[in-house]
Amino acid sequence: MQPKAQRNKFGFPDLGIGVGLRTVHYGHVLEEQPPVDWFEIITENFIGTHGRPVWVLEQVAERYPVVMHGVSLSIGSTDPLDFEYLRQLKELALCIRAPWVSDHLCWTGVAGRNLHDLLPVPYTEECLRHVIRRVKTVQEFLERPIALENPSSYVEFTSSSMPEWEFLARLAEEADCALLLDVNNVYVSSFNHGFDPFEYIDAIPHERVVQYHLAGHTNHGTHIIDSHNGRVIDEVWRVFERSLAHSGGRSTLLEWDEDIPAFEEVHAEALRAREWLERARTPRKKKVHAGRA
Amino acid sequence: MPAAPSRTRTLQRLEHWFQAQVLRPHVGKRAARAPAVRHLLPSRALPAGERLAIYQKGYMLRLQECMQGDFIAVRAVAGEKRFTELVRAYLERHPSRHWSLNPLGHAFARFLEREAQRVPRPALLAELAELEWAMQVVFEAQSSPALAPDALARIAPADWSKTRLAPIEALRLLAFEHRCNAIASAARRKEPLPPLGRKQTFVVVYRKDWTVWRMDLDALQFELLAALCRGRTLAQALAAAARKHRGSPADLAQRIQSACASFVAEGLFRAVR
Repeated sequence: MQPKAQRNKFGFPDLGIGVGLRTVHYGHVLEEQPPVDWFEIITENFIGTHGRPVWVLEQVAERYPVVMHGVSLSIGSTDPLDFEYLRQLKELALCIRAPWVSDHLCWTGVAGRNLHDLLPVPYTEECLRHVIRRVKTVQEFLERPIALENPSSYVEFTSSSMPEWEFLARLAEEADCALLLDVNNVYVSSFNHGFDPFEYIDAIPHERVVQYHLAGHTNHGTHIIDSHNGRVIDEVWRVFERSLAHSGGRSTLLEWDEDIPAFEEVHAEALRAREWLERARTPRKKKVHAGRA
Repeated sequence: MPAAPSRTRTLQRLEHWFQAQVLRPHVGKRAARAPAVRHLLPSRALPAGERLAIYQKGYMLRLQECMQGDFIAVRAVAGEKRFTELVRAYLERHPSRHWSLNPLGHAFARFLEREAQRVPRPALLAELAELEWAMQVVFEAQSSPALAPDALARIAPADWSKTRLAPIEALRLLAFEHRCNAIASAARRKEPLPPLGRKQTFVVVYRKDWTVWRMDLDALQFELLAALCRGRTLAQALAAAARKHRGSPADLAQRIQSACASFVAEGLFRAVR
C-alpha cells in the first residue's frame, strides 16, 4: 500500500521520535541533554503551578520542541467548558511555543466533579453533535486546531449507533480538528470490545493525523488496561505499521508512565519506531507485469 | 442535575448515571450487574457490571495513590488500612472539583481535625496533614528572588524601627503540639517513628533552589520569624523574640543575630521595606 496522506492537513511538522517528559527523568534531561527529537508534556502538570516543573519545562523548551498533551479538557462532558483552564493552557502553549496541543475524546466528570479518568462517550449522533460544537468552541478560543486522541475504553454503551472509528472520523471532518492516533489504544480497545484494529485504522482520515502514540499495556486475560508500562508488543507494532502505510509517518511518541525505567531505556524503546517509519518512507518498487513485446 | 438543553439531555442523563456508578463504593458483582446492563454491553469475557467495575476500581486507586504520595507521614502514623478508610471518607466529603490533582488534599487537615475524631490520635494526624499540605503549597508557590546575604547588614540600626522584611511566597510557618517534622522525616526515610506524644514544636517550610525544605525552629526563632511574616518592623520582631528569651541580654543578641543570618542565608525574605 502506498501512503495516501504524506502530509497532514494542518501543516504541522514531523518532529521525529519523542518521549514523554516525566519527573523521574528531569535531572537526566537537564544534565545530559539527550539526543531526543522532541518531548511531550502532560499539560495539567505545568499549569496553575510555579514550582520546579515549570522551571524544568522552561529549560527543556529552549532546547527541544515540546508538545502539550492534556487530560482535563473533558470535551465530551455535558458540563460547561472550563475557560479558565483553557486560558492557562493557551498561555502556556504560547510561552513554550508548543507546535500543537492535544487531549482525548472523553469526559472527566459532570456536576462540577472531576474523576481524573478518561471516561468513554457513547457513539451517538447526539454526542457527536455535542462534541463537534465544543471542539469548534475550543479551537476558536485557542486560535489553533487541537488534536484529539482516540481513547482506550473498557465499556461499550448500548446506545452507541456507530463504531468509534466512524465517530472519530466524522468528528475530525466536521469540527475540522486534528487527530492524535494512539495505536496502542486502538489495540487495547479492539481486544476489549472485539473489533478488528485494522478496520479501525483503515477508516481513519490519515491526512488529519498529526501524531502517533505508542505504549505498553497490561493484559489481564479478560481485558487489557492501558497502563503505559513495559515495552510495545508486536501486535501494536503491526497496527502502527498499518497506520504508516496510510500516512507515511508522523511525529511519534512513546508513553511510559508506570514502573518507569532509566531514560535511555525509554528512549531506546521509542527509537524502535524508526525501523517502521523508515520502511514506510522507502518507496516500494512497482510491480512489473510480464508482458508480451 | 441542572436543566440540560434538549439537544444533550440523553447524553447528560447517561453521563450522570455513569459517574454515579463509578463513584459508588465498589459493590458485589451481582449488585453491580443489574443497573449496568441497561446502558452497557457485555464483552466476550466480561459481563457489563464487571466492565464498569474497571472504572470503579480505577477511580479509588488513582486518588488513593495521589493522597498517599502527598500524606506520607499521615499514612505512616494512621496505618495502611485506616489511612485508606480516611481517604475514602474524605473523598466522599471533598471530591475533586479541579482539573488538576494537585489541590486534592487541600482540606484533608481540616477534615481530620473536625471529622476524624473516632480514629486514634486525630490531633496528631491533623497536624501532620497540615505540615504535609504546607509542603505541597510551598512546592507550587510563586517564585521570588531572595534577598542578598548581606542585605540585613546594610540596614542601619537607626532604621530598624521602620524596616520590614517581606517573606518569599514559598514559605509557611507552623506551630505544632507534636514532633511533626521529625515524624515526617522518619516516615519519608522509612525509619522508626519518633515518640508520638505531645511536645510543642515549630517548623518553617520553604523552597530554596526549587527544593522544599523544612527547618526546625525554637520558640524565639519562631516568634521572630512569625512577627516578620506578619509585617511587623524589625524592632517589633526583635521585641517579640526577646519576650521568649530567658537568658542574658548578650545571649539574646547572639541568638537573634544567628537566627536572622540563618533566615537570610536560607532565602526566606524577598525584600526590605
